[in-house]
Amino acid sequence: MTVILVSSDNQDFKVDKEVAERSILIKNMLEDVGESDSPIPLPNVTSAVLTKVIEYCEHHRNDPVQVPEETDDPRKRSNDIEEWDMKFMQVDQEMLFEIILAANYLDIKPLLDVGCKTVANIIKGKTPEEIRKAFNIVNDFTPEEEAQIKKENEWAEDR
Amino acid sequence: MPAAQHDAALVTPTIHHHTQSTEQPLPATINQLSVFTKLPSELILDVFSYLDIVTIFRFLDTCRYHRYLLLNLPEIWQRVRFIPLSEYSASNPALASFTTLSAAAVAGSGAGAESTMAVAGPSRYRRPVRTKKPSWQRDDSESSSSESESETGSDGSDDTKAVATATTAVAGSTAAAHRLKHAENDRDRERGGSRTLISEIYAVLRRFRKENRLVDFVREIYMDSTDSQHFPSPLVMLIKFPNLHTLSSRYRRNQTSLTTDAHTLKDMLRNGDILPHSLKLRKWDIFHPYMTKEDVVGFKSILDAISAVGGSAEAERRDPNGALADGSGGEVQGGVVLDIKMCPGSIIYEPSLGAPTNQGMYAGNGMHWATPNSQTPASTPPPPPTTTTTSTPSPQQDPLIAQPTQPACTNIVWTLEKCRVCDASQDRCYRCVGQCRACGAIRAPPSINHQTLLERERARQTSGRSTPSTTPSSSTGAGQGQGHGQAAGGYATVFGTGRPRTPPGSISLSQMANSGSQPIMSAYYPLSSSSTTASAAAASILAPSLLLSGLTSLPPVVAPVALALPPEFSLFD
Repeated sequence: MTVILVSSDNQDFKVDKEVAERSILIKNMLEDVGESDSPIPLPNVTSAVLTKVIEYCEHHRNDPVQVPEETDDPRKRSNDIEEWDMKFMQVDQEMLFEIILAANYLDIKPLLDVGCKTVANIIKGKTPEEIRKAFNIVNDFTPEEEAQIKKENEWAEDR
Repeated sequence: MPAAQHDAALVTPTIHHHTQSTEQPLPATINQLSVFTKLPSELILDVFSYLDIVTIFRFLDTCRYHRYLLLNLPEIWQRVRFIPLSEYSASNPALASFTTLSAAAVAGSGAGAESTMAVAGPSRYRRPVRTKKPSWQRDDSESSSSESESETGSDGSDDTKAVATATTAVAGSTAAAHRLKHAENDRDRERGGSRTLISEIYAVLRRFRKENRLVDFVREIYMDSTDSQHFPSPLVMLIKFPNLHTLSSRYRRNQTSLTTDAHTLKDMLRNGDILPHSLKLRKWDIFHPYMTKEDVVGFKSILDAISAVGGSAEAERRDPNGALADGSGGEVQGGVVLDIKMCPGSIIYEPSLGAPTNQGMYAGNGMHWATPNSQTPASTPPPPPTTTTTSTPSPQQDPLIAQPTQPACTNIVWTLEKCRVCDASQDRCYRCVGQCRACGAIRAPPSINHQTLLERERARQTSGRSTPSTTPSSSTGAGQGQGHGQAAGGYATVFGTGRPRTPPGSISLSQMANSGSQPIMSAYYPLSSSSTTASAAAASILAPSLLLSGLTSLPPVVAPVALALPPEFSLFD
């Protein structure tokens, strides 16, 4: 059985029901509506992003359902990402954040986790200057604020 | 804006939601500054839940909007996570070889502060750190510099001879300082920049202050595996963060001593540094796999004395019908919850347990443990006793079940201890209960058990990675043995592929078994000079008489080296 998803720019995507139901939002909608051929509008997701999301769901269609309690303990939260997922997330930052927002909207927890992990891995291990470069951020601290930050981070023996 | 106001804005940042209404609205151009403006708060929290506190503070120092963003989310500061120093270098290879701070230190040591700032620019990490010189050098350079400055400043027609002398002295001293600093930073680089990271960790701790109220937000601190003598002690966290209710300092084998900590806390309580029942601590995870004999009762009693939850525990203790009057062995209940407990002693078997399977010798990952006292083949372990009497089976009847000790066993048991084969919870030490009650597998010392669990997890994840579209039935991995349906249910929920964290300094079973040429760096396996490779090390600790069957079930990645009892097996007594 297939389901028709309609992106915000009115593009139709025909996907297997099993794939579409990776999204809890769509799954609940299908359960509420029942057997119907009517397309499901997704006004918050563009066609480009929806293509990526469907690609992810296709690849992970047989994955077991993740147990939410597993990630409650911060000690169990690992930044490790599967190889395929890592390649999947090798997109520009604009698209990366759009995928995260779409995963949040469509309620696809594994995709949301992978997106958040990817962003966290971009930040991890970098100095402030490197983070600025990574996210194309302008350093807008005033000289006084810079001095204050420097003072906060100075070595104890320099005091 | 005057500088004082700037300072005030930074020292007392906008960390409270109720103050947001009084804040000036963010400029419209803020959306062009950071992509994080796109994400709602819950997703920001999700992203930063994967990051340690040092990285969060680094992100905080990138721009004003990020500072505003994070300081307006108190939830971010409720959980503080420190990661081992090695993970910093692992996450960023550049840090391992040459940190920015080290670079600044090298640059600063050779050329002096002013020139360093000119070269390195305005970044806070480019300032010349650790430019402390030996007194004889410092005096020379400072006096020479001041001389030259005063001479050039006082008279336009300089005495070129004096200036040249001063310049030579400065050059000489800076060169010596440069050599000294170069060697120091070389050593730091060899250690993966740990010196600079430790400094940054302390700086981060200093930034949690009462003035900015960040210190009040912290509820949970996780500092597992930070087993470095330079790392702040968990007691520092305990005292610094008044609202802390969960502290996790697991896998700190070398830095954990309950006796020392208990004495320190008692001294602080006696001296009035801590008031009785003043801390909000409720839970402290302090286990490490090599913790066998520690003063858990004394440690817990002092924690109960200083924590607020300890007051109710004391009342229960005085009550004859309280928690401790239930004859629960050495387990201490009420008050601060620890993840360790005293082993209550040998178990009284019940008939409902049923007979174990024939995988009693299974060690996980296709390997089998040797039986120290058994001459029988490994495939037919003796069945566990099924009596309900209080008498303990004799070693002749069942060598795997230890005799009860009188007084009760004082070994420490991790409350989350699991069977390495079937994941069944274990509430007694491996000495008192030698077999898993669920699957009948022979139990190993905690360190070995822990290591085997990690290996099994790794194998499970590897099998999951090789088959991305894993089904619950196919993700159990090879060599897991049979008859552990409970574990198979657990496998279905795991599909990560990262390697589980190995406790620092430990050696993995696959490392022992693989016949690579990589030298083993382990504090736990003292290797002779001739045993420099994994296979040689494994062979050196294998006793031929302890080889057991089951090697045919080894996965292909594991070299055909039989696994016997590592040295620790005989040391856990």
